[in-house]
Amino acid sequence: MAAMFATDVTGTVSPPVASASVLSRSLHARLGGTPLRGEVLGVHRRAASVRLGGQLVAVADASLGAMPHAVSVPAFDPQALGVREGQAVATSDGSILIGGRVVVRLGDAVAWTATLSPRPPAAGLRPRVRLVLEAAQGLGGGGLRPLLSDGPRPWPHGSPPADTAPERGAASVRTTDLALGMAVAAAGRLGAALAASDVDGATRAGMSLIGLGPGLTPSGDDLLVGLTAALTAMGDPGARRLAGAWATEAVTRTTEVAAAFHRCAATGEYSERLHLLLDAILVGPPEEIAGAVAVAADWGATSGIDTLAGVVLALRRSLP
Amino acid sequence: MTTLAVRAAVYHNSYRDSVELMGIAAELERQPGVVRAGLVMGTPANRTVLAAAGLAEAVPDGVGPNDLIVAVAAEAAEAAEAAVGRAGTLLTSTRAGDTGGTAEAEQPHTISEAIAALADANLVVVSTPGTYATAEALRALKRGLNVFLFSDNVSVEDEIELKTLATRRQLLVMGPDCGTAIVGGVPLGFANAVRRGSIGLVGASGTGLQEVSSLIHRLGGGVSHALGTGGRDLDQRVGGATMRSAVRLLLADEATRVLVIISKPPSPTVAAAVLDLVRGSAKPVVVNFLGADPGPVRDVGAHPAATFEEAAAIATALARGEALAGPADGSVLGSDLEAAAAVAARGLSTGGTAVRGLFSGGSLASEARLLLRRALGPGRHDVVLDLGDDEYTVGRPHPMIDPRLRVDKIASAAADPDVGVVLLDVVLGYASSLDPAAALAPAIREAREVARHAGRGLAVVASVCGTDDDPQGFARTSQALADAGALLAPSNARAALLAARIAALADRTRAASGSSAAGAEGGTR
Repeated sequence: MAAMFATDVTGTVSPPVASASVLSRSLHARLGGTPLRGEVLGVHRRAASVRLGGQLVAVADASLGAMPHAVSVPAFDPQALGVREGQAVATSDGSILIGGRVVVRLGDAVAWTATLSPRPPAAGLRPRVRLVLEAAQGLGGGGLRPLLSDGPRPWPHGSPPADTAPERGAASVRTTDLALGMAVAAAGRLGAALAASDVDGATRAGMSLIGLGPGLTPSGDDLLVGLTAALTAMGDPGARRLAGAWATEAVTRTTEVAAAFHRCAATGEYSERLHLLLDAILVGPPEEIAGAVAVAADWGATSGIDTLAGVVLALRRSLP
Repeated sequence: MTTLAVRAAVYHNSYRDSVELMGIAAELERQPGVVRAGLVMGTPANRTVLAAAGLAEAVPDGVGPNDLIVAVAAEAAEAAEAAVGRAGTLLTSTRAGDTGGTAEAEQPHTISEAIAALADANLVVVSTPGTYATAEALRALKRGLNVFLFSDNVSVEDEIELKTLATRRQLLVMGPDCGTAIVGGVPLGFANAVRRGSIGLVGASGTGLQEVSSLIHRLGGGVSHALGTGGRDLDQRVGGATMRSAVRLLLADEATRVLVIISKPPSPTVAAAVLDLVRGSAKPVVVNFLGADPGPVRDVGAHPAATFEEAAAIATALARGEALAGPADGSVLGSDLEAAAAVAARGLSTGGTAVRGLFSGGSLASEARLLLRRALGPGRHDVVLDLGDDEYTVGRPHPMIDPRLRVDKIASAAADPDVGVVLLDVVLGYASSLDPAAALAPAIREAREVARHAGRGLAVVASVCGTDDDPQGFARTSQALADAGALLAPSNARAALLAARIAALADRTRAASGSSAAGAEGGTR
């Protein structure tokens, strides 16, 4: 019965074929090696989360920008293509086949280096950080927006507030606010530990942010990834250690999607939008910082703001 | 202080994006009577938040980070339940919106969706490119479903993995590269419309199963199940895993009173393992290991059958409790066919006598090749081609679906002065060409005409595998072929024997008259 499915006898149709445009070098190596199998975990408007060989990979519309764990595909609309949760996914011969319906070819993809290299801060980092904070003032609310305020630092004396949120009038508080209150408090402890160059303390404070907050990538996780990205870009040798410790915990303490970002951070890999933001902040023309901040904040529901909060937390170390 | 009613629901492995989740969370908080609501992923940190908000009490144990928790505290239980229900509706409706169209929504795209629509399903047909077929088959097995794996290009390692899992779970993997099965009267892949009855078949060959099941039907018998194993199942590496499971199933199946096992010769150890299962079986067992020694079959108390026709004849007689009426293995052609052979042989007084078999069924080709060699011996130009082999099907449909390749080959045979007999199988049934005679009959007519113009004779011998209940109709197809000048035999085995007899008689006549037989060099390939 060889070659029968090449015909239309069983109603099998040729699956739509898409070509990936960008792929991180490390993901390219993984997907191009031993054939992997898995399934579709979630289908979103511009991306599908799939588990391949036990690890989460995003197949995402190229407009979302390159991500270390993502295959970027131009004009990728998974819902229109019939991608559904639970479909089988497999790699073979330089392609990903989703649910027997969609083939994503990897051969033409541009190999992208997701590893964030240190960008020696241009002279006068402080004025640049102030420009970031100024730009953040103009951003809308949501998520960890309070951490971006340019007022007095929320932990002026190195003693952040306790997790007081639960004591607030229970009937009047939203659960989201409770979670964000806890996250702000934990971020305070994290910032204080960083200011004191207390890596162990920072590690512990960060642990309580893992899996904390609303969303498929909880706000606390977004913050931690933004933080280690900024520390990495500034050449902080502790960045990789923090990211590694948090990635290990993330496996059991947060969503699989968030854990994928942590996993990449532990190997020094970050999304293109973080590369661009940190380039702009650290080495680009200062007049472009405000625009870069606004673009970075506009990501997902609150992920952009939350990630930016982590970046700002790292940048604040340079301020007196 | 009023006691609040708290209700929660958990959606396991939910990967809704944050925008969607927050929209639903905001709507929940607007529901009448709701005091607090949480819609968060079930991470330990978020469960701490829910506990702090007094919402954890209704959240069940065992919630993980990838599970979505909807928790609501309201002034009354009804309000809490209504809000949780509203969240469920919103989550469902956004998912339904994902499908992007009504027609699309009706068609299940995954095994999960199909099971949701057909909860008592117990078998999945997998027909995806081979590279991806293993994953789908594994998914089905893990859900406790049997698998009919039509796909080819599945590696032997994957086949072993699938069959090991299936055996452990007492499930059946028919395939890979399984073309034919009839399960509980439902035809899968290439199968014929046959009467239901008490004969159970297990076969490592698709057209072998089709031939035996069709012959049983035409002999008045019926089939309980016909289970395919895939052609590689009886390979040493796979060890006959599916055949052994299928034999066990049919031995235990109440509807099956007679068992037929067919295959090309398996590896000796696999054959021994399969035969061991039927040793001393209370149910009669018929075994056709094509071309193999019948001794080991007799040794376990089973009935050896040399051809598909004989397997069908013995099984039908056993199912009726009748005595076996002697061999039906193609060694007895029957008086009608003997007479036809004599007439046809006289037409081959000039030109070659080589037999050119042009087959669409691989197992039918194997059987014909074997019988021709036995009947005609070595030293001839007889050739049997399996046009369904990879060599011929790259980039084109299988000849059981598209007769064009066969039409071309018939024309080539007619133009070949060596060829005296063209031997054909015509396989009817589901998934096959809806009117194979429409293309083959004119081709046969033209071939005979071409040979006649060249001053040669050309005999065309055919057998039709199928029943009158098949969409193409056995009688109608046979009549169309006969009208075109083909000699019809009642089985593939007897068609092969008829072709051999025509060639042998023509050779004998020429030997007597002193002319040389062009077919008498080389051997059957």
